[in-house]
Amino acid sequence: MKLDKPRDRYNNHRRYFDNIAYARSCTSHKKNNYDGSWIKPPEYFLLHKENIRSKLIETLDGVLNGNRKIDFLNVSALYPSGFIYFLSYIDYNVLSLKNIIARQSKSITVRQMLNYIKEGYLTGACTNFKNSNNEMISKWRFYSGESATFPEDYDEVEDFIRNHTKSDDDFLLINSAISEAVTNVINHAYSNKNNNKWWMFVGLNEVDNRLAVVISDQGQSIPVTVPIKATDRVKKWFSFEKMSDHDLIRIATIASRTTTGLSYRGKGLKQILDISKSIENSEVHIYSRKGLCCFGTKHDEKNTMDFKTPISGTIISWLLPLGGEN
Amino acid sequence: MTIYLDVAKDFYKRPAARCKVDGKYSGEEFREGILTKKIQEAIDSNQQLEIDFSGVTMAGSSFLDEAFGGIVRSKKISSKLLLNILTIKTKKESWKFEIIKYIEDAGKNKD
Repeated sequence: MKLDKPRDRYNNHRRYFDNIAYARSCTSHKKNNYDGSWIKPPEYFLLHKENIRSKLIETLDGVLNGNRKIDFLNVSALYPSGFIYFLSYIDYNVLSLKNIIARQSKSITVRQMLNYIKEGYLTGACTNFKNSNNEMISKWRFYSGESATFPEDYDEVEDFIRNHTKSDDDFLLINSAISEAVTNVINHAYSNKNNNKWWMFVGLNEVDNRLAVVISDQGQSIPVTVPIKATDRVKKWFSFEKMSDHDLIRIATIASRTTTGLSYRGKGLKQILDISKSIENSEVHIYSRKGLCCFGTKHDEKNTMDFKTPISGTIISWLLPLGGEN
Repeated sequence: MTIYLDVAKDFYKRPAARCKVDGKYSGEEFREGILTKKIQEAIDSNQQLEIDFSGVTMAGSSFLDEAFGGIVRSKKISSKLLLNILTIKTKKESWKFEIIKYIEDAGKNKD
């Protein structure tokens, strides 16, 4: 192999040691006698394909039932919606990622992502992927909290949006909608107001000039709260118990009341969806309980459906082309 | 003559959420901590109140509604008087319209 350039020598050096780490991880189970007791998650962490979604949910059920050992060996891709669901579920129900024993993935990207998340939880600092030399990872930021106040390092996200949108108006519209989505979780997602946690991935894609925002909660889910929000008159018109979850999500996007029943509240979801209409080629996907509802300027009907296996809480996923100069 | 309130400098550049329990820089905190005092100052001295959102990078509907609609709902001032003394300076025109709407709606509901 010809290694003329310093970058080639670095990459080869790195691959060698990554392979060593991978080989060690394959044999560690023998040293620690873990054979036969590991939970094996699906190869992909995603929620939009039935069989893979079911396997991911089954993995989390296993963790909740007491098995803290997860074998990530064959996990090769962490889709944002699936991964944030995994993280939020474990964080909310198992109390800490520190309690999880993990076998490393063969995939360098997956391994690094999980290590960054773990480091963030262990140190209490915000997870910052930008130091990664992996392009797939370095564009992502991860935030979580129980209040609507964003940390100081969110400045970076604002700078990205501001520099990549056509106008101040677009920047303020998008940034305010992100804030409102988080506020929605705090105000409306949970019946118990003592634990209003939210989790958020933000993807800053310089190459495609796109912003990805994925927000998760572990609250009541939209299909649970819609029948609660409905007025008595509306309840006479609809049999909510017979409606699919994706129809209930759709109703929630046009309803103007909230669980509080007060007319001046409940604007958050509409504000979020208005963006998907005003920015070309943007998409919003809402996962809640069994339902998936898709919105956007290229609305895809076939991706609106109910799955067999419910998730807890709600995930809102946006993909926004920003349209400004790089 | 005008009294000025710079939201980013006098309060925070990223105000969010409705109630104090939801976050440090909520609409309720803004209303009770700064806005009410400035409005009273403007009324007492017969001046206009200009609220400058230029440095603010996010202002969701929850924050704006609780701050401006909330002050009318709390009966500290009528919607008519508030709209008379208030000027909003912002790069985002829709915030102006939103604020006016929340004030007007709060006035109607109060009546």
